Amino acid sequence: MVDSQSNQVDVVTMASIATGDRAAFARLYDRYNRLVFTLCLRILKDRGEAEDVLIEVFAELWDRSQRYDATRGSPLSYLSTLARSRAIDRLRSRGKTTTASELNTALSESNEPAPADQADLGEQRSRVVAALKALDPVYRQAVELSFYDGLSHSEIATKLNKPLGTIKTYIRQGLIRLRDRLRSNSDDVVSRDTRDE
Amino acid sequence: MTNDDRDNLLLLAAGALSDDEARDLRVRLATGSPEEIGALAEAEAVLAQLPLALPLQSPSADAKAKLMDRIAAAGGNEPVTMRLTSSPSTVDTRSRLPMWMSLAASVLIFAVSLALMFASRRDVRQANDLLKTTNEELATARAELVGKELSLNSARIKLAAMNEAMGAEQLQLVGLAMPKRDATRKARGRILWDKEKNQWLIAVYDLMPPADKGRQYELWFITPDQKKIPSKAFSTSVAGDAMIVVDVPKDIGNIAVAAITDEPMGGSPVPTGDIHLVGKIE
Repeated sequence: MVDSQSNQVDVVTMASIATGDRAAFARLYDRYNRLVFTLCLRILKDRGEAEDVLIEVFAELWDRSQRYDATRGSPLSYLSTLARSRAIDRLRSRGKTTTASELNTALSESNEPAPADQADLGEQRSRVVAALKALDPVYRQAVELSFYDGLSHSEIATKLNKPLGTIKTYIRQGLIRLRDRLRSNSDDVVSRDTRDE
Repeated sequence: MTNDDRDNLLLLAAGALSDDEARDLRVRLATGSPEEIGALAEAEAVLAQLPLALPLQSPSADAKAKLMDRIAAAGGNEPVTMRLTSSPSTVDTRSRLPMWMSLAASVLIFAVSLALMFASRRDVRQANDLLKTTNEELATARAELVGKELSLNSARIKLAAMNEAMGAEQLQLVGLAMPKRDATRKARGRILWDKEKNQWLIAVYDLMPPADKGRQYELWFITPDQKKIPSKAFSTSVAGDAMIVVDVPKDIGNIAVAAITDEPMGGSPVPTGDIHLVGKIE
Protein backbone atom coordinates (compact mmCIF):
# COMPACT_ATOMS: atom_id res chain seq x y z
CA MET A 1 0.00 0.00 0.00
CA VAL A 2 2.86 2.38 0.71
CA ASP A 3 5.13 2.66 -2.29
CA SER A 4 7.55 -0.17 -1.63
CA GLN A 5 10.63 1.48 -3.12
CA SER A 6 10.31 4.71 -1.20
CA ASN A 7 9.56 2.71 1.92
CA GLN A 8 12.78 0.80 1.51
CA VAL A 9 14.70 4.02 1.11
CA ASP A 10 13.09 5.38 4.26
CA VAL A 11 13.90 2.24 6.23
CA VAL A 12 17.54 2.54 5.27
CA THR A 13 17.43 6.21 6.25
CA MET A 14 16.00 5.31 9.64
CA ALA A 15 18.73 2.74 10.12
CA SER A 16 21.31 5.41 9.37
CA ILE A 17 19.68 7.82 11.79
CA ALA A 18 19.93 5.15 14.47
CA THR A 19 23.70 5.25 14.02
CA GLY A 20 23.73 8.98 14.67
CA ASP A 21 23.82 10.06 11.05
CA ARG A 22 22.57 13.64 11.09
CA ALA A 23 22.70 13.97 7.35
CA ALA A 24 20.25 11.08 7.06
CA PHE A 25 18.09 12.74 9.67
CA ALA A 26 18.09 15.96 7.73
CA ARG A 27 17.10 14.08 4.57
CA LEU A 28 14.18 12.49 6.38
CA TYR A 29 13.12 15.88 7.69
CA ASP A 30 13.27 17.38 4.22
CA ARG A 31 11.16 14.57 2.90
CA TYR A 32 8.42 14.59 5.49
CA ASN A 33 8.39 17.94 7.27
CA ARG A 34 5.52 19.32 5.19
CA LEU A 35 3.43 16.24 5.66
CA VAL A 36 3.96 16.22 9.42
CA PHE A 37 3.41 19.95 9.67
CA THR A 38 0.22 19.76 7.60
CA LEU A 39 -1.11 17.00 9.80
CA CYS A 40 -0.31 18.95 12.96
CA LEU A 41 -1.83 22.08 11.49
CA ARG A 42 -5.00 20.25 10.53
CA ILE A 43 -5.37 19.01 14.10
CA LEU A 44 -4.22 22.09 16.00
CA LYS A 45 -5.30 24.76 13.52
CA ASP A 46 -2.50 27.01 14.74
CA ARG A 47 0.77 27.39 12.84
CA GLY A 48 2.87 28.17 15.88
CA GLU A 49 1.71 25.14 17.79
CA ALA A 50 1.86 22.96 14.71
CA GLU A 51 5.51 23.93 14.25
CA ASP A 52 6.27 23.25 17.92
CA VAL A 53 4.83 19.77 17.58
CA LEU A 54 6.68 19.25 14.30
CA ILE A 55 9.98 19.90 16.04
CA GLU A 56 8.99 17.73 19.01
CA VAL A 57 8.07 14.84 16.74
CA PHE A 58 11.33 14.86 14.80
CA ALA A 59 13.35 15.37 17.95
CA GLU A 60 11.62 12.39 19.49
CA LEU A 61 12.28 10.36 16.35
CA TRP A 62 15.99 11.23 16.66
CA ASP A 63 16.10 10.34 20.35
CA ARG A 64 14.31 7.02 19.85
CA SER A 65 15.57 6.08 16.42
CA GLN A 66 17.04 2.85 17.74
CA ARG A 67 13.61 1.76 18.91
CA TYR A 68 12.05 2.03 15.50
CA ASP A 69 10.88 -1.42 14.39
CA ALA A 70 10.63 -1.73 10.61
CA THR A 71 8.51 -4.86 10.98
CA ARG A 72 5.79 -2.93 12.79
CA GLY A 73 5.25 -0.26 10.15
CA SER A 74 6.82 2.02 7.57
CA PRO A 75 8.72 5.16 8.62
CA LEU A 76 5.86 7.19 7.15
CA SER A 77 3.36 5.32 9.30
CA TYR A 78 5.61 5.74 12.33
CA LEU A 79 5.98 9.48 11.77
CA SER A 80 2.34 10.02 11.02
CA THR A 81 1.16 8.08 14.06
CA LEU A 82 3.63 9.84 16.31
CA ALA A 83 2.72 13.25 14.94
CA ARG A 84 -0.97 12.66 15.34
CA SER A 85 -0.50 11.42 18.86
CA ARG A 86 1.55 14.43 19.94
CA ALA A 87 -0.77 16.86 18.21
CA ILE A 88 -3.84 15.35 19.85
CA ASP A 89 -2.09 15.50 23.22
CA ARG A 90 -1.38 19.19 22.64
CA LEU A 91 -4.96 19.76 21.52
CA ARG A 92 -6.37 18.16 24.66
CA SER A 93 -4.03 19.99 26.94
CA ARG A 94 -5.02 23.22 25.27
CA GLY A 95 -8.73 22.51 25.60
CA LYS A 96 -9.45 25.15 23.01
CA THR A 97 -11.82 24.90 20.11
CA THR A 98 -10.86 26.67 16.95
CA THR A 99 -13.25 28.60 14.81
CA ALA A 100 -13.58 28.07 11.10
CA SER A 101 -11.95 31.43 10.39
CA GLU A 102 -8.91 30.49 12.45
CA LEU A 103 -8.66 27.30 10.47
CA ASN A 104 -8.92 29.11 7.19
CA THR A 105 -6.26 31.60 8.29
CA ALA A 106 -3.97 28.81 9.30
CA LEU A 107 -4.48 27.00 6.04
CA SER A 108 -4.26 29.98 3.74
CA GLU A 109 -0.51 30.37 3.98
CA SER A 110 2.32 29.04 1.93
CA ASN A 111 1.32 26.30 -0.38
CA GLU A 112 4.56 25.59 -2.16
CA PRO A 113 4.87 23.02 -4.85
CA ALA A 114 6.57 19.80 -3.90
CA PRO A 115 10.31 19.61 -4.51
CA ALA A 116 11.38 17.45 -7.42
CA ASP A 117 12.80 14.69 -5.23
CA GLN A 118 9.37 14.17 -3.71
CA ALA A 119 7.74 13.08 -6.93
CA ASP A 120 6.95 9.70 -5.42
CA LEU A 121 5.10 11.38 -2.58
CA GLY A 122 3.12 13.32 -5.14
CA GLU A 123 2.08 10.10 -6.81
CA GLN A 124 1.16 8.60 -3.48
CA ARG A 125 -0.79 11.73 -2.68
CA SER A 126 -2.81 11.35 -5.86
CA ARG A 127 -3.75 7.83 -4.90
CA VAL A 128 -4.85 8.87 -1.44
CA VAL A 129 -6.90 11.78 -2.79
CA ALA A 130 -8.61 9.46 -5.27
CA ALA A 131 -9.29 6.86 -2.59
CA LEU A 132 -10.83 9.47 -0.29
CA LYS A 133 -12.97 10.89 -3.07
CA ALA A 134 -14.33 7.42 -3.75
CA LEU A 135 -15.21 6.96 -0.10
CA ASP A 136 -18.77 7.41 1.06
CA PRO A 137 -19.01 10.88 2.65
CA VAL A 138 -20.37 9.57 5.96
CA TYR A 139 -17.48 7.14 6.25
CA ARG A 140 -14.97 9.82 5.37
CA GLN A 141 -16.43 12.22 7.88
CA ALA A 142 -16.31 9.65 10.68
CA VAL A 143 -12.73 8.68 9.91
CA GLU A 144 -11.58 12.29 9.72
CA LEU A 145 -13.35 13.28 12.91
CA SER A 146 -11.58 10.52 14.80
CA PHE A 147 -8.21 10.93 13.11
CA TYR A 148 -7.90 14.67 12.87
CA ASP A 149 -10.08 15.88 15.69
CA GLY A 150 -9.17 13.17 18.17
CA LEU A 151 -12.80 12.42 18.92
CA SER A 152 -13.73 9.04 20.34
CA HIS A 153 -16.53 7.06 18.74
CA SER A 154 -18.93 8.13 21.48
CA GLU A 155 -18.02 11.78 21.00
CA ILE A 156 -18.55 11.47 17.26
CA ALA A 157 -21.88 9.80 17.86
CA THR A 158 -22.94 12.70 20.04
CA LYS A 159 -21.65 15.29 17.59
CA LEU A 160 -23.40 13.74 14.60
CA ASN A 161 -26.41 12.59 16.59
CA LYS A 162 -26.02 9.03 15.39
CA PRO A 163 -26.08 5.73 17.27
CA LEU A 164 -22.74 4.56 18.59
CA GLY A 165 -22.89 1.32 16.63
CA THR A 166 -23.44 3.28 13.44
CA ILE A 167 -20.36 5.41 14.03
CA LYS A 168 -18.24 2.35 14.72
CA THR A 169 -19.48 0.84 11.48
CA TYR A 170 -18.70 4.04 9.58
CA ILE A 171 -15.15 4.14 10.86
CA ARG A 172 -14.51 0.46 10.27
CA GLN A 173 -16.02 0.45 6.82
CA GLY A 174 -14.27 3.67 5.94
CA LEU A 175 -10.89 2.23 6.84
CA ILE A 176 -11.56 -1.08 5.17
CA ARG A 177 -12.56 0.60 1.91
CA LEU A 178 -9.65 2.97 2.03
CA ARG A 179 -7.31 0.08 2.65
CA ASP A 180 -8.74 -1.93 -0.21
CA ARG A 181 -8.62 1.04 -2.55
CA LEU A 182 -5.04 1.90 -1.68
CA ARG A 183 -4.05 -1.76 -1.97
CA SER A 184 -5.39 -2.02 -5.48
CA ASN A 185 -3.72 1.25 -6.41
CA SER A 186 -0.46 0.03 -4.91
CA ASP A 187 -0.66 -3.19 -6.92
CA ASP A 188 -0.95 -1.09 -10.05
CA VAL A 189 2.16 0.81 -9.05
CA VAL A 190 4.11 -2.33 -8.28
CA SER A 191 3.22 -3.97 -11.57
CA ARG A 192 4.08 -0.78 -13.37
CA ASP A 193 7.45 -0.57 -11.61
CA THR A 194 8.12 -4.19 -12.42
CA ARG A 195 7.36 -3.60 -16.05
CA ASP A 196 9.79 -0.70 -16.14
CA GLU A 197 12.71 -2.79 -14.87
CA MET B 1 -8.49 -11.46 21.83
CA THR B 2 -12.24 -11.54 21.37
CA ASN B 3 -14.12 -10.85 18.16
CA ASP B 4 -15.04 -7.45 19.57
CA ASP B 5 -11.36 -6.75 20.11
CA ARG B 6 -10.58 -7.58 16.50
CA ASP B 7 -13.38 -5.32 15.31
CA ASN B 8 -12.05 -2.58 17.53
CA LEU B 9 -8.52 -2.74 16.10
CA LEU B 10 -9.54 -0.42 13.29
CA LEU B 11 -11.11 1.95 15.79
CA LEU B 12 -7.92 1.84 17.80
CA ALA B 13 -5.86 2.75 14.75
CA ALA B 14 -8.20 5.65 13.99
CA GLY B 15 -7.99 6.88 17.56
CA ALA B 16 -11.71 6.41 17.96
CA LEU B 17 -11.58 4.50 21.22
CA SER B 18 -11.64 6.22 24.55
CA ASP B 19 -8.32 6.35 26.43
CA ASP B 20 -9.36 3.52 28.74
CA GLU B 21 -10.63 1.34 25.88
CA ALA B 22 -7.45 1.98 23.87
CA ARG B 23 -5.21 1.18 26.79
CA ASP B 24 -7.06 -2.05 27.61
CA LEU B 25 -7.03 -3.17 23.97
CA ARG B 26 -3.31 -2.51 23.64
CA VAL B 27 -2.72 -4.65 26.71
CA ARG B 28 -4.66 -7.51 25.12
CA LEU B 29 -2.96 -6.91 21.80
CA ALA B 30 0.37 -7.52 23.50
CA THR B 31 -0.56 -11.20 23.49
CA GLY B 32 -2.36 -11.05 20.19
CA SER B 33 -1.57 -13.15 17.14
CA PRO B 34 0.74 -11.88 14.38
CA GLU B 35 -2.37 -11.45 12.20
CA GLU B 36 -4.01 -9.20 14.76
CA ILE B 37 -0.89 -7.12 15.25
CA GLY B 38 -0.52 -6.98 11.49
CA ALA B 39 -4.12 -5.81 11.11
CA LEU B 40 -3.45 -2.90 13.42
CA ALA B 41 -0.23 -2.01 11.65
CA GLU B 42 -2.00 -2.09 8.29
CA ALA B 43 -4.79 0.14 9.57
CA GLU B 44 -2.22 2.59 10.92
CA ALA B 45 -0.46 2.53 7.57
CA VAL B 46 -3.69 3.48 5.82
CA LEU B 47 -4.33 6.32 8.22
CA ALA B 48 -0.75 7.51 7.98
CA GLN B 49 -1.43 8.42 4.38
CA LEU B 50 -4.52 10.51 5.07
CA PRO B 51 -2.53 13.71 5.54
CA LEU B 52 -1.26 13.30 1.99
CA ALA B 53 -4.72 14.24 0.83
CA LEU B 54 -4.50 17.60 2.57
CA PRO B 55 -3.09 20.62 0.80
CA LEU B 56 0.49 20.46 2.01
CA GLN B 57 1.70 23.35 4.11
CA SER B 58 5.29 24.30 4.91
CA PRO B 59 6.61 25.26 8.32
CA SER B 60 8.68 28.36 8.77
CA ALA B 61 12.13 28.43 7.25
CA ASP B 62 13.91 28.34 10.59
CA ALA B 63 12.03 25.28 11.92
CA LYS B 64 14.69 22.98 10.58
CA ALA B 65 17.46 25.05 12.12
CA LYS B 66 15.75 24.95 15.49
CA LEU B 67 15.44 21.22 15.22
CA MET B 68 19.04 20.61 14.23
CA ASP B 69 20.23 22.88 17.04
CA ARG B 70 18.13 20.91 19.45
CA ILE B 71 19.51 17.53 18.49
CA ALA B 72 23.03 18.93 18.42
CA ALA B 73 22.56 20.16 21.96
CA ALA B 74 21.26 16.75 22.97
CA GLY B 75 24.40 15.11 21.56
CA GLY B 76 24.40 11.83 19.66
CA ASN B 77 27.15 12.32 17.13
CA GLU B 78 28.96 9.19 18.30
CA PRO B 79 28.42 6.04 16.32
CA VAL B 80 25.71 3.95 17.93
CA THR B 81 25.01 0.27 17.40
CA MET B 82 22.43 0.02 14.64
CA ARG B 83 19.31 -1.97 15.47
CA LEU B 84 16.17 -2.39 13.49
CA THR B 85 14.17 -3.87 16.37
CA SER B 86 12.41 -2.18 19.22
CA SER B 87 14.73 -3.39 21.92
CA PRO B 88 15.74 -0.55 24.21
CA SER B 89 19.24 0.80 24.05
CA THR B 90 21.49 -0.76 26.68
CA VAL B 91 24.74 0.03 28.29
CA ASP B 92 26.68 -2.89 29.55
CA THR B 93 26.49 -2.46 33.31
CA ARG B 94 27.31 -6.02 34.25
CA SER B 95 30.16 -6.32 36.67
CA ARG B 96 32.88 -8.71 35.72
CA LEU B 97 32.70 -11.79 37.93
CA PRO B 98 35.46 -14.32 38.37
CA MET B 99 35.01 -17.25 36.04
CA TRP B 100 34.52 -19.76 38.87
CA MET B 101 31.68 -17.68 40.33
CA SER B 102 29.96 -17.51 36.96
CA LEU B 103 30.32 -21.26 36.59
CA ALA B 104 29.04 -21.91 40.10
CA ALA B 105 26.05 -19.65 39.47
CA SER B 106 25.26 -21.51 36.24
CA VAL B 107 25.45 -24.88 37.98
CA LEU B 108 23.21 -23.63 40.79
CA ILE B 109 20.64 -22.28 38.37
CA PHE B 110 20.72 -25.57 36.46
CA ALA B 111 20.23 -27.58 39.65
CA VAL B 112 17.34 -25.39 40.78
CA SER B 113 15.75 -25.69 37.34
CA LEU B 114 16.05 -29.48 37.47
CA ALA B 115 14.54 -29.57 40.95
CA LEU B 116 11.68 -27.38 39.85
CA MET B 117 11.14 -29.51 36.77
CA PHE B 118 11.00 -32.73 38.79
CA ALA B 119 8.75 -31.10 41.36
CA SER B 120 6.40 -29.96 38.66
CA ARG B 121 6.43 -33.44 37.10
CA ARG B 122 5.54 -34.95 40.47
CA ASP B 123 2.73 -32.44 40.82
CA VAL B 124 1.50 -33.38 37.36
CA ARG B 125 1.56 -37.07 38.25
CA GLN B 126 -0.33 -36.44 41.46
CA ALA B 127 -2.84 -34.33 39.64
CA ASN B 128 -3.31 -37.09 37.05
CA ASP B 129 -3.79 -39.69 39.78
CA LEU B 130 -6.34 -37.50 41.48
CA LEU B 131 -8.11 -36.96 38.20
CA LYS B 132 -8.20 -40.68 37.52
CA THR B 133 -9.61 -41.42 40.98
CA THR B 134 -12.18 -38.69 40.60
CA ASN B 135 -13.24 -40.06 37.22
CA GLU B 136 -13.62 -43.53 38.66
CA GLU B 137 -15.72 -42.21 41.51
CA LEU B 138 -17.79 -40.26 39.07
CA ALA B 139 -18.38 -43.36 36.94
CA THR B 140 -19.43 -45.31 40.00
CA ALA B 141 -21.78 -42.57 41.09
CA ARG B 142 -23.27 -42.46 37.61
CA ALA B 143 -23.82 -46.22 37.61
CA GLU B 144 -25.48 -46.00 41.00
CA LEU B 145 -27.67 -43.21 39.77
CA VAL B 146 -28.73 -45.21 36.73
CA GLY B 147 -29.51 -48.15 38.97
CA LYS B 148 -31.59 -45.97 41.25
CA GLU B 149 -33.41 -44.53 38.30
CA LEU B 150 -34.26 -48.02 37.06
CA SER B 151 -35.47 -48.99 40.51
CA LEU B 152 -37.56 -45.86 40.65
CA ASN B 153 -39.10 -46.57 37.27
CA SER B 154 -39.80 -50.13 38.27
CA ALA B 155 -41.48 -48.93 41.45
CA ARG B 156 -43.56 -46.48 39.45
CA ILE B 157 -44.73 -49.24 37.13
CA LYS B 158 -45.60 -51.48 40.04
CA LEU B 159 -47.48 -48.72 41.77
CA ALA B 160 -49.44 -47.98 38.62
CA ALA B 161 -50.35 -51.65 38.23
CA MET B 162 -51.33 -51.83 41.89
CA ASN B 163 -53.50 -48.76 41.59
CA GLU B 164 -55.18 -50.11 38.52
CA ALA B 165 -55.90 -53.40 40.19
CA MET B 166 -57.15 -51.72 43.38
CA GLY B 167 -59.52 -49.69 41.28
CA ALA B 168 -61.22 -52.73 39.82
CA GLU B 169 -64.97 -52.84 40.33
CA GLN B 170 -64.85 -56.56 41.26
CA LEU B 171 -61.76 -57.35 43.21
CA GLN B 172 -60.85 -60.42 45.25
CA LEU B 173 -57.90 -60.41 47.60
CA VAL B 174 -56.03 -63.68 48.26
CA GLY B 175 -53.19 -64.07 50.73
CA LEU B 176 -50.16 -66.26 50.02
CA ALA B 177 -48.20 -67.75 52.90
CA MET B 178 -45.43 -70.28 53.47
CA PRO B 179 -46.76 -73.87 53.69
CA LYS B 180 -44.75 -74.47 56.90
CA ARG B 181 -43.83 -72.06 59.62
CA ASP B 182 -40.17 -71.15 59.38
CA ALA B 183 -38.70 -68.79 61.92
CA THR B 184 -35.86 -68.01 59.52
CA ARG B 185 -38.12 -66.99 56.68
CA LYS B 186 -41.02 -64.61 56.40
CA ALA B 187 -41.94 -64.86 52.75
CA ARG B 188 -45.50 -63.79 51.93
CA GLY B 189 -47.59 -62.63 49.01
CA ARG B 190 -50.88 -61.11 47.85
CA ILE B 191 -53.08 -61.77 44.83
CA LEU B 192 -55.39 -59.03 43.59
CA TRP B 193 -57.89 -60.74 41.31
CA ASP B 194 -59.60 -58.33 38.93
CA LYS B 195 -62.72 -60.31 38.11
CA GLU B 196 -63.68 -57.98 35.28
CA LYS B 197 -60.41 -58.31 33.44
CA ASN B 198 -59.81 -61.79 34.80
CA GLN B 199 -56.27 -60.86 35.72
CA TRP B 200 -54.18 -61.62 38.75
CA LEU B 201 -51.70 -59.11 40.14
CA ILE B 202 -49.35 -61.04 42.35
CA ALA B 203 -46.98 -59.30 44.73
CA VAL B 204 -44.50 -61.30 46.80
CA TYR B 205 -42.28 -60.09 49.61
CA ASP B 206 -39.18 -61.54 51.26
CA LEU B 207 -39.12 -64.45 48.86
CA MET B 208 -35.39 -64.61 48.44
CA PRO B 209 -34.02 -65.75 45.11
CA PRO B 210 -33.32 -69.49 44.92
CA ALA B 211 -29.84 -70.41 46.04
CA ASP B 212 -29.37 -72.18 42.75
CA LYS B 213 -28.96 -69.39 40.28
CA GLY B 214 -30.26 -71.62 37.52
CA ARG B 215 -33.73 -71.64 39.02
CA GLN B 216 -36.71 -69.32 39.16
CA TYR B 217 -40.11 -69.23 40.83
CA GLU B 218 -43.24 -70.30 39.01
CA LEU B 219 -46.91 -69.59 39.62
CA TRP B 220 -49.51 -72.42 39.45
CA PHE B 221 -53.28 -72.42 39.15
CA ILE B 222 -54.54 -75.52 40.97
CA THR B 223 -58.10 -76.67 40.31
CA PRO B 224 -60.37 -78.46 42.76
CA ASP B 225 -59.45 -81.78 41.07
CA GLN B 226 -55.75 -81.08 41.64
CA LYS B 227 -54.88 -80.14 38.14
CA LYS B 228 -51.74 -78.00 38.28
CA ILE B 229 -51.79 -75.49 35.45
CA PRO B 230 -48.51 -73.60 34.92
CA SER B 231 -48.59 -69.82 34.71
CA LYS B 232 -45.65 -67.46 34.70
CA ALA B 233 -42.02 -68.01 35.72
CA PHE B 234 -40.47 -65.05 37.49
CA SER B 235 -37.51 -63.97 39.53
CA THR B 236 -37.45 -62.00 42.76
CA SER B 237 -35.14 -59.15 43.55
CA VAL B 238 -32.26 -59.54 45.91
CA ALA B 239 -34.62 -58.17 48.57
CA GLY B 240 -37.10 -60.93 47.77
CA ASP B 241 -39.69 -58.71 46.06
CA ALA B 242 -41.54 -59.31 42.83
CA MET B 243 -44.74 -58.17 41.16
CA ILE B 244 -46.26 -59.89 38.15
CA VAL B 245 -49.55 -59.62 36.29
CA VAL B 246 -51.02 -62.74 34.65
CA ASP B 247 -54.22 -63.52 32.76
CA VAL B 248 -56.37 -66.20 34.28
CA PRO B 249 -56.99 -68.89 31.60
CA LYS B 250 -60.53 -68.54 30.26
CA ASP B 251 -61.51 -72.16 30.27
CA ILE B 252 -59.86 -73.07 33.56
CA GLY B 253 -63.11 -73.32 35.50
CA ASN B 254 -62.86 -72.99 39.28
CA ILE B 255 -59.50 -72.32 40.89
CA ALA B 256 -59.02 -73.83 44.31
CA VAL B 257 -55.42 -72.90 45.14
CA ALA B 258 -52.63 -70.65 43.97
CA ALA B 259 -49.07 -71.87 44.57
CA ILE B 260 -45.51 -70.74 43.87
CA THR B 261 -42.68 -73.25 43.52
CA ASP B 262 -39.08 -73.04 42.48
CA GLU B 263 -38.37 -74.53 39.05
CA PRO B 264 -35.62 -74.59 36.41
CA MET B 265 -34.97 -71.24 34.74
CA GLY B 266 -37.79 -70.50 32.28
CA GLY B 267 -40.34 -72.61 34.15
CA SER B 268 -41.53 -76.22 33.99
CA PRO B 269 -44.70 -77.81 32.57
CA VAL B 270 -45.14 -79.76 35.79
CA PRO B 271 -44.15 -78.80 39.35
CA THR B 272 -40.75 -80.22 40.29
CA GLY B 273 -39.57 -77.97 43.08
CA ASP B 274 -40.55 -77.05 46.60
CA ILE B 275 -43.69 -75.05 47.38
CA HIS B 276 -42.68 -71.69 48.80
CA LEU B 277 -46.00 -69.85 48.89
CA VAL B 278 -49.56 -71.11 48.74
CA GLY B 279 -52.99 -69.58 49.07
CA LYS B 280 -56.52 -70.90 49.13
CA ILE B 281 -58.98 -69.35 46.70
CA GLU B 282 -62.41 -68.93 48.29
